[in-house]
Amino acid sequence: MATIAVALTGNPNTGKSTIFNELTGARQKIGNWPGVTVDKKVGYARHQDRAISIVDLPGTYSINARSPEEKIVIDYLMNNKLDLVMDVVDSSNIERNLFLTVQLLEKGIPLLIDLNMADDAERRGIKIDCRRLEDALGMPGVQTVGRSSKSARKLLDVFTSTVMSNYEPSQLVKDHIIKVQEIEASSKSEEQKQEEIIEARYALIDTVIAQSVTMSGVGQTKSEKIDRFLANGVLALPIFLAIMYGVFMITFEWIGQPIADALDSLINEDFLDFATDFLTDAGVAEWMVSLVCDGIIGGVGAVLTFVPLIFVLFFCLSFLDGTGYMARIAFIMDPIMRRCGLTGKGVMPLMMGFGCGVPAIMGARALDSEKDRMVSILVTPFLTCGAKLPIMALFAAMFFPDNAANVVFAMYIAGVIMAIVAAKGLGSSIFKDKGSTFLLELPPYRMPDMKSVLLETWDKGKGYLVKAGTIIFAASVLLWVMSNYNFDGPCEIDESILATLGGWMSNLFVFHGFATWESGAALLSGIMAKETVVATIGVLYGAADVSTEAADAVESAGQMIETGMASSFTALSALAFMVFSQLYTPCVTALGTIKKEAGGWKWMIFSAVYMFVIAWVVSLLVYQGGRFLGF
Amino acid sequence: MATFIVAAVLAVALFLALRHIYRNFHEGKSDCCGASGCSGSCCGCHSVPEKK
Repeated sequence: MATIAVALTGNPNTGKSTIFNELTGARQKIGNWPGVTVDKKVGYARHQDRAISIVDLPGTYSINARSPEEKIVIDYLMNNKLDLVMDVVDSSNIERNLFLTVQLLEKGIPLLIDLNMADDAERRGIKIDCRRLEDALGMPGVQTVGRSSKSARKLLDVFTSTVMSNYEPSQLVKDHIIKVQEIEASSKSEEQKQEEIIEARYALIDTVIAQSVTMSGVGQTKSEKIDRFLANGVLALPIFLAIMYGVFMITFEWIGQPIADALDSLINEDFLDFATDFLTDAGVAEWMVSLVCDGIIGGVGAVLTFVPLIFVLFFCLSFLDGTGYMARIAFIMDPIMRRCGLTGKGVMPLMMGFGCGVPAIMGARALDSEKDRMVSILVTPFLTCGAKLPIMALFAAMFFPDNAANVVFAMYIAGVIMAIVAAKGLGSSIFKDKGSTFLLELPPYRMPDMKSVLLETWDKGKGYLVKAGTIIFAASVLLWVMSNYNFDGPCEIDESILATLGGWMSNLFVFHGFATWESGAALLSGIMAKETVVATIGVLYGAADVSTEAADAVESAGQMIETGMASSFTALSALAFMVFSQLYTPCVTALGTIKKEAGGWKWMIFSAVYMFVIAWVVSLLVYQGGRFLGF
Repeated sequence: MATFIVAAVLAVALFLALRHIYRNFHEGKSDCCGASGCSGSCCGCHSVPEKK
């Protein structure tokens, strides 16, 4: 039997993605973040011996094809042969949700109306008579509760038993469609036509609601009460900062760091000793032992050590996302963003930038105005992505051991401030267009589903494990070769190719306090992938001590790196280095994404150069300012 | 001999790593943009089969 093709559509935050997950078992982020379902997602289910393919379309409030999401929805629904289009409606917000329903019916798209979150609606005193709603619209209806396997089974039953060709719009809907056609055919101005059509739609919705919905004692929800405290008023921003500070304490002090320390000891002491002894005893040549131990274990190990921090940080952020709090940040930040000529909606792609700049840059597609999109693309790389985290964590732990969490938190804040300042600068100079208005629906507060939180943490964090085994591994081998050879063959590390390149680069930092070839080499390699900065430090400072044989076998690789770093940096120059690493040229993947999203080499080169210049200036100010103040 | 074996293992690992990097570059993907972590906006992670 042929596969049943189903498309899910609806407003954002109606639980559409949750239903999709329940039906298909697919993993997907839930919420109204720009970019959440910008791409169509397809899942498959099997029920009563029928194969069902389900497409999860982006959440939209209308289908005027103004935003990319709206265009995707209308294009897909009009150009694909579908057996069923299910319109997921938030029962507790039925009036606004039916606006999209009516628009879809106007386009002649038969709909299965899913009255989702029926339990939430009932708690709020909203009772919907599904049969009456079916009669009013002439379309089949079903009532569901988002996160419930019972609802999923019910929907699969409906998918396999409903034949949409048996349904046609009610007389009420037909009359409305004729009215809309008359308005469109009239000689009124486009604006006037639109106003009249919107009025007609709401008139139809009012009639449908009057026939099928009863409301009793609809008051303020629990989420609205919490929002009065957490998302509005003078306390919202301090509370947000306090929560984020708590996340950093958990990551860098209480949970993440102890695990990272244990892993460090395991990799850089136990495993390194074992590998060295094993390879030496097996008769492996000395240069190969050095490549494996100093190069690969030193480089990859240096990055792997920080993976626990990345996982703990992502777990905390995913947990907050699951509670619905992260979506509030757009509102909390809206006043600040408006001063920069942007809207709070622009915060959402930026928030993704704390994970990885690549999806954050792509997430900017969902912003409505060209100005917002371009500014967001160009300022996102200032934020501390997960790949920069190991740099911050390494230097903070090494040079500010008593205040590591505070220093890393300060670096994150510095990244945010720099992004805001750059947005203001770009918004008032290069991109002067009018920004867009801001409409974002907040999901209700809820207890996060731990399975989803853990899956999301894994999804976000596993990329760093893959990178450690691929790009960092390859970079470590390359760095080892470049640090042990020059064009005449094997050589001392300070005569190597890497030392030469790093030396050239370091000339730029003579006033920054870190004009060593090692720093130059680390920063140069960081353009490949930011974690490579740490890998380079691991290879160079680990190998440097070994090559001079100053360190005997008792000293661990971690201690060697510490010793090497302490001889190259002071606390102040380390801070200047951290600031530079935080702000300078994005990695090649991010640059490639900027080229693709911003539309050409010009913006990619602009991004690489202006970020380097800003990083150079700010880092210089930090170092020279610090010296002026006597540090 | 031991050196040769280690070199061979490293060569294979390096080949796989470089192939992965090349494929990522070629397909416009990023490792830290995996599955739901990319919030669905990273086209490289999601190929969408169209209904014929």
